[in-house]
Amino acid sequence: MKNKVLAMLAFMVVFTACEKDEDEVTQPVDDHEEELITTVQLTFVGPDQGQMISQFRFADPDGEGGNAPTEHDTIVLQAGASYTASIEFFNESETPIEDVTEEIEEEADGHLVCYDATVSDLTITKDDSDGTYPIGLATTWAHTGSAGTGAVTVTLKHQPGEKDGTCAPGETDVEVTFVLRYE
Amino acid sequence: MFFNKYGIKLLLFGLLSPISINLYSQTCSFMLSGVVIDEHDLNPISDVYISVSGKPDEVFFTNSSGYFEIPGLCADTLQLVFNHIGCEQVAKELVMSGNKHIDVKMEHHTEELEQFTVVGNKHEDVLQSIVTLSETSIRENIGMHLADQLATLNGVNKLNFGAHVAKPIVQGQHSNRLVIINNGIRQEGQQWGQDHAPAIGMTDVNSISVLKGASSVRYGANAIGGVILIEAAPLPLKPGVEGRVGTGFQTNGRTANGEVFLMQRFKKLPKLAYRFNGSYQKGGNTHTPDYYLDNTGIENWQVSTTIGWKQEHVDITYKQAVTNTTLGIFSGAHIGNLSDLEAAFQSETPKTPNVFSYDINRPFQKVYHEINHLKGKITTHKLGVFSWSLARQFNFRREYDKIERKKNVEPNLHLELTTWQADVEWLHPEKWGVHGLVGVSGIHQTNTYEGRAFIPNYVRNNIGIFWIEHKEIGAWRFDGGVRFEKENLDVYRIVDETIQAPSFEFQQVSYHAGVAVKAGKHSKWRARMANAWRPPHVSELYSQGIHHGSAAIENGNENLKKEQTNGLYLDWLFEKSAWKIELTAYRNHTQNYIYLQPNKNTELTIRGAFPSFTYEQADVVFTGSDAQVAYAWNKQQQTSLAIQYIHANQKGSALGVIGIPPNSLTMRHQVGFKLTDAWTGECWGSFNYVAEQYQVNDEQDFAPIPDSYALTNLGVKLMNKHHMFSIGVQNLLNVRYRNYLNRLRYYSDELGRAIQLTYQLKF
Repeated sequence: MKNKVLAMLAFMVVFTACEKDEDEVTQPVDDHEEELITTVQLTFVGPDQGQMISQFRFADPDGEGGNAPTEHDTIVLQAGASYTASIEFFNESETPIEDVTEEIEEEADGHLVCYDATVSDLTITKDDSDGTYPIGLATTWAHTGSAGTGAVTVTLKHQPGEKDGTCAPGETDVEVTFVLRYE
Repeated sequence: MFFNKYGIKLLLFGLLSPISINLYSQTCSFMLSGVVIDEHDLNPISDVYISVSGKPDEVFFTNSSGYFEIPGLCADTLQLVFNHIGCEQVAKELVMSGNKHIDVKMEHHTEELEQFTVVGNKHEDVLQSIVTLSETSIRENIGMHLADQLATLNGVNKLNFGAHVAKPIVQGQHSNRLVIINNGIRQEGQQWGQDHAPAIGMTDVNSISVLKGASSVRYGANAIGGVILIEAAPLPLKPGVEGRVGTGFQTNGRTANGEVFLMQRFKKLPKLAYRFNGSYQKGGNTHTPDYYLDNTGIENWQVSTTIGWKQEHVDITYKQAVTNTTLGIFSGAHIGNLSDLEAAFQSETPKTPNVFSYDINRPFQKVYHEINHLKGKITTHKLGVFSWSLARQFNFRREYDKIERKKNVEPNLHLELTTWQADVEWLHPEKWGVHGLVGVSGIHQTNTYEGRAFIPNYVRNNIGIFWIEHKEIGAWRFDGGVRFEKENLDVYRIVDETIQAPSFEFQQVSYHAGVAVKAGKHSKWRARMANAWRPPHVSELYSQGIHHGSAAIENGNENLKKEQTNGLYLDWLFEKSAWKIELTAYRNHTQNYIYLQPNKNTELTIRGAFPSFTYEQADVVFTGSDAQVAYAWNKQQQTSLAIQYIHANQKGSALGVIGIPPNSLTMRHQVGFKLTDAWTGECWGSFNYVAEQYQVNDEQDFAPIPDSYALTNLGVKLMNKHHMFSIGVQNLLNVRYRNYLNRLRYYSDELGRAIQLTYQLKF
């Protein structure tokens, strides 16, 4: 009898989970989400075979909500010219700044960057590949028109196991619309 | 981690148990004891009111095991009268010539009317509308979660987030405006979230009662809409082993369930008894009439053990219950920004794989809930009943988003909630025809987060003192109560890399007063006014960020004040031969009702534009009625009709209130039959019509308000003393519809036809 009762009691304490310390409550840790992207940075080389480098950024260092984005540049390029462009993603809420682009490159078959421009006579071609489909980190922006202003929306899609070369599947990690001016 | 404070508690348990209390001795020293059970299902009936001719100035009650003791009786012929709300009165005469034990059977009306019966509150005789779900219907729907089971009751609805996440709504109130009392303690989880279902195992649940309307006096802050009282099966009274095994299968989602329930009182040590139960459930992708819902599987297990020591005047039980649930979140609902949301609304069918699978992939949630509860009761002859309870609850909530990077195992959001709770209550002996209850309760709660800082860390302390009295004069019954309550909240959050620690203090005096009167032979009136309150929850003060599934940014508001409701309730109950009617009407005026107000401009983030909302307060008036009419054609056949109406509006505004259940009507017909002497059965059919929610504008919502719909359900069950088989069909006609109270209505239709088979063996 005694053994039965003891066995029963032993069984009951098995599930008892841990108690936490009061310190854990009063000292929250600034543990930013690991997937946070705060910054999109576009680097253009050109025009044409020229070696001028220009950078345009969108940055919201404290992430979604809270304070409004701190940087939201207008992309200014030379009309009728061609540029090679690269795009980078950072988490600037961490010190040191985390380069999320590396992770995208590692999981290239699960990511796609899409560009949707409202400027006429502009062709954006993706110059890189995950082996099957383009990634969109390296692009060429060929403009054949005259001066004018429009917009370009840059979208980073996470498409694990569902990448088909189009922008439709997956979850939106980044979607930023820049004003794009050719002058 | 396995041996901590519980070592000490078990030791205490061992020390306390042998204490025997003898508070009286008299010349007339015979003791009459007994058990009152339900004539139909043989379950014990608690709080039966017993009067004895030998003791004209005293009344006695049965405890939660149906057990009573009347000590100090003389050798005499005694007249006993047993009364219980919802039962026929039973009178007995017996001769005392020594100690005696009797068994009494009472006929419970609830059994006849199953789902639509309203019984009085068997707890403290509160004059309040209450609906109860019987054990039979809980067992018949093995595998169904709490809210789905309760939604069959009139005046109770459920708020869904897909097929497996559902939380109850009582008279239009839910989440932080309802209190769930799980075997005497407040169930404390992350109940603020729409997609957070209460983690409660159903295997040992014997009955669930829903107290409608403001009930803060007895149950404290948050009992604005009402209280859900969950009662476990009482420990057995007779030595021996009893139990059951049950299993079920549901075609939609191909969900399989199994459960075991076992209890025993030891022959050699009859003061000790235990109860053990466990269950397991596994389900896969559910199906609308047209397509599978990707990643909507569930895996759930729960285990609970109770040990009880019972001797003369002293009753001690210790219970541990653990539930663990892994839930897939419909992948079509975990979307990015506003443009994704609009794309989802525009497509008739979700762009997700249309296949069946038991796999649960990201996004999913894992919720672990653990309850450790020690309680005791001392019943004295002259000083009434003292009860005390000490409980600790853990609620670990892990949410895994669709996107993971780096550490694959880490959840994106991890909340750990620990709640300590202590209660002491005294049921004082009747004096001048007045009986009542006095109590003190305290709560200490801490919350910590890891990962996404959707809600901050906090410490919450709550203390409450209440006093309730009850008096009967002729055909009139009166009750009244008052509670003082104080809540302190200390928040710890990081703002711009420094820790901020704002503190809040809230307090409230809440009250209730009720009267009931019998008007003639067949009808009864009941009127009640009550005040209830709640302090703002930390999620309303400080939540910040994107709520997945709704593509919305929610902003807390640290200037929120406490919310309070003044409710007026009027009930009419009528019972005559084949008819049974209950009409309930209510009006709740809530001051500082907290709600999410859409902001004018969308908020720009790196993931695109999101609609954003801020918590605001307004005065809101809820008016409504629950009506039930049942007619028995003969002994076998019965038809019932239930209608529910709720209207809610903001004072001084044309805007409706979001998330209020639409008006509805349910008709049910049931036929009982007898196959052989041992086997009986029952067939039933029901028709459920839900109107369109006309009180909100389309502008108040992301998507158009769903149309009205009608569902047909059928069922049959066969049973004898040991076996019960049942087959039920939900949504028989495979109707394609969307439910206003389901957050996933933005993305998909509701489930199509589902056939449910269950079997139960009792031994």
